[in-house]
Amino acid sequence: MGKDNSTKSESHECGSRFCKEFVEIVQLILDGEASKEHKDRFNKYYMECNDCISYYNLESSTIEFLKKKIEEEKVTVPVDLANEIRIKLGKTA
Amino acid sequence: MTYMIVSQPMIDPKKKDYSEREKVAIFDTEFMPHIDSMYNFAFKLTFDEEDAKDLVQDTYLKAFRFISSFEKGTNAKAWLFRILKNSFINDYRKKSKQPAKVDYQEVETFYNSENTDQNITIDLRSETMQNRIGDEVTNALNSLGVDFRIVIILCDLEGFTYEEMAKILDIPIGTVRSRLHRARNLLKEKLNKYAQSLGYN
Repeated sequence: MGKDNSTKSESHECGSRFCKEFVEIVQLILDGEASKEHKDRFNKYYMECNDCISYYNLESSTIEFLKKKIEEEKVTVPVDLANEIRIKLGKTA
Repeated sequence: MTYMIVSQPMIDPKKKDYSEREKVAIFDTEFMPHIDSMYNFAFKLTFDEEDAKDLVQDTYLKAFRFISSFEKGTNAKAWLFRILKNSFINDYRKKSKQPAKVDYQEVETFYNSENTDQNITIDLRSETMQNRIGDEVTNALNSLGVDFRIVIILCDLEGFTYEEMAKILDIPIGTVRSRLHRARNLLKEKLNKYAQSLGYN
């Protein structure tokens, strides 16, 4: 984890590549879906690898930014919509 | 002699036998509080105020019609979102000229390939970058295929869990995860190109 399989014999450096497991666990953690096992496994490698920390921080800030942007773009519900639904419901129920 | 075949009504044990009063109470207290989220979801799917209104109205009318399939006190928001998504896919999207299909084989191939760990270097932490890229995020999100846009909205705006999204979308949890991963990577690719065009690396 946190390391390309092709470089197992080398020191713990991810470079620009991350193993599939690490990428998946980062996603689970950032989406609040990680199990204790995932978190333990993540912390074990996260603490050792600067590239993993960078990857995690970048993913985290990207998702946070995206959430903030989508939240800012929320539109206001038309004031009459709820009433229109009730009126139609009265006619069809 | 003439025989008449009389069909017996099917009895679904899961269906609830609510009184009219209970139906109205469920509708008012469990369904209507989600109208804000429903309208925003509809608007992000249709990009049109009138279409979004129609879609939300249709959803609520269907919800009331099929209220006996809803168990009081359970996850009304996910149930309503599922109806809205199905209405959009089955009714509204047919009318649209937007591309309707996503090549999931291509998506799954991508997700299972080594390319999933490609490095995307855009750094959204930079305040300057955030200001410049703001509108571009909207454009990038809106340009995603509808199936990718839906998972981003459900997860990153509405905060649904993978399990809830799986139920809303009728797909396995693993597919929710891979689709979300792919959607975010597509967004990053689009934004990365934009950042590079501005001279960022």
